[in-house]
Amino acid sequence: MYKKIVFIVFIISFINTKGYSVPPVLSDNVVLSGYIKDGQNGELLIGATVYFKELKTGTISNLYGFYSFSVEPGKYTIEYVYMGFKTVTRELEINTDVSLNIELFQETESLQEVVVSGKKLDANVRDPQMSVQKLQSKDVKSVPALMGEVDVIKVLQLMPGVQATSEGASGFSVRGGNPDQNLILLDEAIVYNAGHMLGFFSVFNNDAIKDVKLYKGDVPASSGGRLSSLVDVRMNDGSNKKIEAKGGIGLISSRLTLEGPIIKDKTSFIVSGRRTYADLFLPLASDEGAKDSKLFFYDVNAKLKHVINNNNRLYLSTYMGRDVFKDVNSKMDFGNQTYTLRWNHVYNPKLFSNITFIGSKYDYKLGTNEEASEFTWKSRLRDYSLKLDYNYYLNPNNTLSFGLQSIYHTIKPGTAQGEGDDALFSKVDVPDSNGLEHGVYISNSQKFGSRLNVKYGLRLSGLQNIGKGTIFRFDDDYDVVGEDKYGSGELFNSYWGLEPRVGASYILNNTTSLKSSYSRTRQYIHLATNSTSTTPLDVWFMSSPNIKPQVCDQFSVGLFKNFADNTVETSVETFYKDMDNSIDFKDHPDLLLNDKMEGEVRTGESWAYGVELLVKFRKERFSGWLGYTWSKSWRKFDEINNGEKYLSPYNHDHDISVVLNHKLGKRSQLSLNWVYFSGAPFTAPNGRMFVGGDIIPLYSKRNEEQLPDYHRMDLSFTIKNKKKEGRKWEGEWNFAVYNLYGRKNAWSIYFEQDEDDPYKSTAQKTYLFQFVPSVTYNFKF
Amino acid sequence: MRSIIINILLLVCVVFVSCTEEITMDLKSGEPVLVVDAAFTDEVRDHEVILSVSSEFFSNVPNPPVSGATVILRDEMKQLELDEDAGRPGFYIIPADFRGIYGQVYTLDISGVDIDGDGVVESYSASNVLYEPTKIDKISLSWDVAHGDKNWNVLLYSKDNPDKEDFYAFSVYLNNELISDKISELEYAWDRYFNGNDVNGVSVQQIIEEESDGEETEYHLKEGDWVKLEMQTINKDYYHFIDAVQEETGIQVPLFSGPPANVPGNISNGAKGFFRVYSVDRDSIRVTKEILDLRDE
Repeated sequence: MYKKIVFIVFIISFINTKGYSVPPVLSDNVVLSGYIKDGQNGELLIGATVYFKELKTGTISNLYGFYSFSVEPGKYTIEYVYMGFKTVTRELEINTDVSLNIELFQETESLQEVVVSGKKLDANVRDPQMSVQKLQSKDVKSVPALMGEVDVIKVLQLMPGVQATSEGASGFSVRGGNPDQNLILLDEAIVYNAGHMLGFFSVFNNDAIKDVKLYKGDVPASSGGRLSSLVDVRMNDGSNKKIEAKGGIGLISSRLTLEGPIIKDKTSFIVSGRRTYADLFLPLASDEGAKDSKLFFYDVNAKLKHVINNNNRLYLSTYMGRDVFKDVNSKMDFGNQTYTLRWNHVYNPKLFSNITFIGSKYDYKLGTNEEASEFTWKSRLRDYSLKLDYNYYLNPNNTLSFGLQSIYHTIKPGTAQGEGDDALFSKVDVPDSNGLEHGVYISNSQKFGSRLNVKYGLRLSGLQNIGKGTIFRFDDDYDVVGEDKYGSGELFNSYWGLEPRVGASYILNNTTSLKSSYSRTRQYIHLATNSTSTTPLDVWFMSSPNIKPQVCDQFSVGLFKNFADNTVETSVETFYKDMDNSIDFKDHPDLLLNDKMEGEVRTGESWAYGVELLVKFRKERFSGWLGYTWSKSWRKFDEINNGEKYLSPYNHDHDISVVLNHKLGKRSQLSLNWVYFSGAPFTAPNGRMFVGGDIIPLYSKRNEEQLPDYHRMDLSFTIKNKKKEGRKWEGEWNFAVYNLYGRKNAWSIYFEQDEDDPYKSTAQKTYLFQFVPSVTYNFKF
Repeated sequence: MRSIIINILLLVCVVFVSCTEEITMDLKSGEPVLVVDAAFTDEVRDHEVILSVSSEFFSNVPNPPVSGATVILRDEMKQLELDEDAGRPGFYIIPADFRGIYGQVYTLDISGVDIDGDGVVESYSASNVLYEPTKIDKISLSWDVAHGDKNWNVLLYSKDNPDKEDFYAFSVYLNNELISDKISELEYAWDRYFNGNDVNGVSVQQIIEEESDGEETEYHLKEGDWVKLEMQTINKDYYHFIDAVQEETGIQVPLFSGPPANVPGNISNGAKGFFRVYSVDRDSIRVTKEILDLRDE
């Protein structure tokens, strides 16, 4: 109710301030538009600034490198700016619509040049978008990584407000949210399990990635479906100038990327592959059974781009990855596959559109080879989706976005079957679950004068459950009292809701701004997982007559200030999240191969709040950031913890990340990161009993104790080989150490009955990586 | 099923060098509660009802027994007040002549105790049904070295009742010595995966001769030994109890374990523990030279 009022007030104040703005917009405005690219390889640049000096305003390029700005006819000096690239200035007489594509070139590595371009790099101050973190492939590369595997997800975990779910995991929690509340997109396709090897490595091959944006809140109206964050990963398009290759050989994996033009300046491709060989180390394992096992993963990213003409571009991207594990008696494999086909179409200089067809699949198979109880177990999730997005650059003060998306989800939660005549197990088939998830949105980004920038939007989203399907009916004790079966194509339930999204930034002076935002998000698909870290076996399930969609209202306010000519960016943001229909599970739930799994779900409410501080700097020799977060994340469920509130397993009171890069010379760099966070909450016993010969712990409250605090330092040193004249091959060596001072950070604490003394119990701490060195050789030609 | 998954996933974890060390911790202490550890079967022998009080977690001594309680066991036709064993406080004996009848509900009533010391006498109760047992046709042994340890598998031949939802637990004896003497060592099964099917040589219990770390156990089969399998026909509540006990007493790993929680119980008024009622069938196999050849080859 309160939130509806806030939204209405916003709309009303917009109407009242309509007379506020600036030079009346003349109907015979002309438009400057075009694409901004990297001059070296033709990659389209996302978020590059186009600044009109005389007007002291401008615009930025969209997700496909397209920009558009309306002006009165006249003469203008326009600056094209992008971090890390040399600014290009054009003086133009604009009397009719002009289409101008621009190429920007990277700053060369030079100690004398200071990487600064004045006030235009203040996008973080000017843009009403808040709660967002942007990373490029080169930012990710410089951060020391576990076993030398540079990883975009691990770098995101170093941002304030983001934490790994457990040591080394790819699952992450944003502002106290659950790991299934992050929408992870790779070229617009949803990635359901972003981890390889149980999460120690993510599915993103850094060599194939152009740009990653993490939205911790204030998610644009064009996105929906997850409560806590949007991670928008964009792949490189492939150089359209010349064939290039790059790759690396590391301790546990190697990678190779090949890209280049098929038809120069028109068609380009990129293929990136990666494979681990962790199983090389298995013969060293002490466990006999491990010696003959197979353990590896691979992934491939491929993309084809074709420029039909300046107004039409086609992209075809795909990702395929698989983890394989096999030993004498059992085998398991799992992986994601995504396919997207996109068509950018420019209707006129003011209207840009993108239409996307997407297919996604996540599946796993496991089985045993034991005689008489041989069985296989499969699970699969498939998405087919259509997405339409439009950017309408109405006038200098208004940029509209609107569009729609529909996704058809089809989930086979689990099928297990005994093989052979003597199979003990009959087939267990958890019924399929199908649904259509929709979203329609419209939003506008409007400037009021030179100080106030407001964006406001509305998203309407919904889920329709569609047959075939079986829904069980439960009584108050969660016992099954009946079932309803639905035929193929039958629509049997739907949920709809509005998701308002508003945000504003107010410029106090050239380097300071105040921002605030409110957003409502809804989530219709949830992960059935009982562990704090997700596992590859977890199954997604949709909202249904038994499970309502989760809803989140998030408010945030922040102060953004830049110093020293925009080389130091600082921000302080505070947030409050209020979530309804939150999902948790009963004690000792049965989540695998259970067709009545909805009966294990319990619903309640959760909320989180906190303060995030970030200082980012980019100087001649030093760059990096320092982040600090204080936050609390709570849950309250009638049927859990006796109805009393308890800390979310993702609660960490304090979280500090320090990342420092130091250029030692022209060819070498030293990087360091230090991570600290308060230990995760856990449930510890407060008594014990003897039953049937066992000591069994007794617990009173959930998550009342805390694991010891976590901290570690990583170090990495990179040295480039001397570049020889005329030689295309460039190589560099990277030496890294993870957990430099070898702290035994607790991965878990459990309690054990002593082997010798049946009356004694002890507390045991399991810890993982301690002082892990790695060596990687990277090359490109 | 769960153990297969755990085996696969634990093996993967072995690749990542993980270590465990003992640490000291201070834990809060809760209010003591009554703990009931009682089992009643269709066997003709004495059974025990053990009453004790819960203690703080790191207490290194046996939990205090509850003496002098009034304990009554009844079914729909008869009832009996149990005598406390003079030599073992807290142990109340169900004599062998109190026979279990199939299909009857057995109820344990406990009164005359004041656990929380507030001066008010408390009473507790728990009930369970005694089902007819599913019979073992025969058993055999196979030798297994594929999972890291070296053990004998006890293979069951039986037929599940298709008309009923059945739950089972299995324990194993070597020469009449019970090897799986704890609830956490039982194997257990729910017929939803094999309802009505023939069970043809499925491994339901093990005798481990050598652990995965190479240490030999005290069990080493010789010619002439007798291996006995006990098949317990249990009910749903006890099945979930065994499942929860095994989760609570097993290794907890952040990747696969959820938040720890109290095991379910079937005793009223806040008491903990479990009153289990089940029927039993047993079969034995003599260890012959042919069987030993499976191992010694």
